[in-house]
Amino acid sequence: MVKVTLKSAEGDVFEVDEELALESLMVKNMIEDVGLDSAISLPNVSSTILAKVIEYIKFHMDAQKDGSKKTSEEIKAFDDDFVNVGIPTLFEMVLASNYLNVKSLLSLTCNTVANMIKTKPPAEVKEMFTSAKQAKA
Amino acid sequence: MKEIDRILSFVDLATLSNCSAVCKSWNNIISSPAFRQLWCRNAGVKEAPLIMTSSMHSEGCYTFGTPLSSGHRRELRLRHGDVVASAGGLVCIRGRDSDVLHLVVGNPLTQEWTEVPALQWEDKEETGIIDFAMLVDGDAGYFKVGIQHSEATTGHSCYVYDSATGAWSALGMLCLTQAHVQARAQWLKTRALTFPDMDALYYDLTTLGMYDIRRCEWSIGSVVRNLRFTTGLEGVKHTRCVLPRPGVCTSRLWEWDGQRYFASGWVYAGSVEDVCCGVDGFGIWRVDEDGSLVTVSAVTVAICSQYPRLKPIVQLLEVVTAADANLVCFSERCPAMLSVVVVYDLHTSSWSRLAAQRMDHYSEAVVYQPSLRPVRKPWQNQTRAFPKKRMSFYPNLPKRDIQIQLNRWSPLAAQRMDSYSGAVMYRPSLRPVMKPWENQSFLTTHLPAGVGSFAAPEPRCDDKVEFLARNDIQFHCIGDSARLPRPLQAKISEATSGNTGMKFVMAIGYGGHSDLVQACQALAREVEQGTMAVEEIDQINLARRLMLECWHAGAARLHQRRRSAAEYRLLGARV
Repeated sequence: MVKVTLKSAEGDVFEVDEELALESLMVKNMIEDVGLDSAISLPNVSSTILAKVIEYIKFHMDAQKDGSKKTSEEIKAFDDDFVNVGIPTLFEMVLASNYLNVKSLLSLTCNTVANMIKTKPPAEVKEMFTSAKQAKA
Repeated sequence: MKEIDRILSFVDLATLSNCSAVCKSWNNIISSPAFRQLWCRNAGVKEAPLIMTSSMHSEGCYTFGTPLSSGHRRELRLRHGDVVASAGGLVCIRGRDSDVLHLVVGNPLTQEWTEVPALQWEDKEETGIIDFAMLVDGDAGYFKVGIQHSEATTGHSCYVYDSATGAWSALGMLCLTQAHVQARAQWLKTRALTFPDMDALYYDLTTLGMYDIRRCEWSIGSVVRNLRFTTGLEGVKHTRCVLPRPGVCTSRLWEWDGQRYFASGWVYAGSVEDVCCGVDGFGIWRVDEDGSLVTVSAVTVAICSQYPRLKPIVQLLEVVTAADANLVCFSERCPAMLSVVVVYDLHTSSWSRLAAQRMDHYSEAVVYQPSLRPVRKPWQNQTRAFPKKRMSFYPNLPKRDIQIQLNRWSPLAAQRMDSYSGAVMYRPSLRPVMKPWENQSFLTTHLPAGVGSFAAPEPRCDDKVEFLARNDIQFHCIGDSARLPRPLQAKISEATSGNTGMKFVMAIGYGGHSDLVQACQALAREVEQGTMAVEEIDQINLARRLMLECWHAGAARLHQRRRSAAEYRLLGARV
């Protein structure tokens, strides 16, 4: 199995299978451009977020394999648990999935944020986003 | 956060209107065409119905998060407008800029708009319009816009615009009784209602969507006349409780989940001291199969006003009802700043009011069901009325005539007969449109078989043949004797075979040249048969073969030559 080396913003190195890395269209394009020899640097993604993204892709790839025994309920439970994080982390995951161009993760995270906005009046929405911004800073 | 547009494309329309109020940059994102496309692609159209309100201020017409773009406002000459009706994802906006009725229909999601042509009023004032309604034909997608017009002295009339035909039509007028006129005059004068004639209630635009094309009747008629409902409220004792008439409150009849519902505000008239001057409550009734009304929910305005942050409202003057799917909304139509919009959700069986800050400036609210439905224009109707493959359509016509059953009258639907004064019967046929110069070919090619080949008429010359026989007249025919009817020829030859008297020679189609030709042919035939040698052909032999020769045979001189043209002239042949 060919391995791809990903380098996060902090400089941490992640070694993942090529098949897994190709799920991200951005990484796929990078591999096509520069090849597998050098590590692919992802300056916009922090180590914690990158680890989570890899975890997400890994789970869904396993679930899609033929021999998988995971039911749709299990997958949904995993997704719910996966996005059950603080708002700042969730926002960072939206950014990261958009940057890495992982379609399924982007729609999952966006939908989660959209559901959080849904019932709130404008003032609370504003507060929510402002606090997330401050937490990031 | 630049990915905000992606997040916002997942929220529904109602949330979108909230989000546009969060900050300026979000509002810019939401009102951009690129975002609208993204939203339409992402969220689809499977949306719960919403309440849509419109504003009158200079910014134009706002819907929930999807404003009418400024380009369209300029194009449609619509600077100030109110949403007056909505159906099937389309909304109807009434412009406030000019004195004439200016209606624009469109889809706020796809930003496709079309103007409704001006209605030709007959001495009517626009201020008399008391209700708007809209209907979308589910299959074809054509919309109808109806307006109800009221005049104090005559009655109510409905006008309907159909986008399939592109024309307005009048649905007929409901004349008011004298008692109604008096009651209305009194209402205008003193703002006190009396109800002179309970049974003769109006019909209004609730019926627009309920025209039964099979039974050819307005299905609301029986419902309104059998109005024996109670308010469903405990402790509210009304001696008489009726639906308000047009000008006070409009009502709606619609279908949801296989059931028919009826919504209206209601007015009651108690004792003389207890006269009221506006709408006292709202109610929703279920319409059963037999037309009776079963109360679903009812509420009084006084109860409505118990909501916080709003001063109590005793009565509402003019209330507009709008309904679609599971939502019903009652909104007060008043030019003042404060309006009241009360909403009932059949799904959750709950009453609610729109928040106060949302209601400023808003005069009416409609129930809007988002949809990507296209706005069909009249000229797009052509594909339906006239199939493109015309020739493949016609051969399928039934060969036999359409049987007209005289024992059954079948009126056509009223809205299909827009501004047409008369109807004709049309029988499909492939008959060509013949021009005068095509007369000849028509005679030969298009007459039925048997007519073209003229049958020989029976000879009608019996007396003349008898004359020939009686006077012993010899008869000869030169020229083309085949032109005489064959029975006549036989009769003549029979009558004149043994005659020896005067010689009668008839020239039919005779010509000197053709006579020479046939004489030559006769000579040539004889030569061919061997009865004559080529050397024998001379003047005498040729002359004998001429038809003209019969004139000389035995006749000393010619008695008379007569042409049919009555001229004493012969064809240059010397006889």
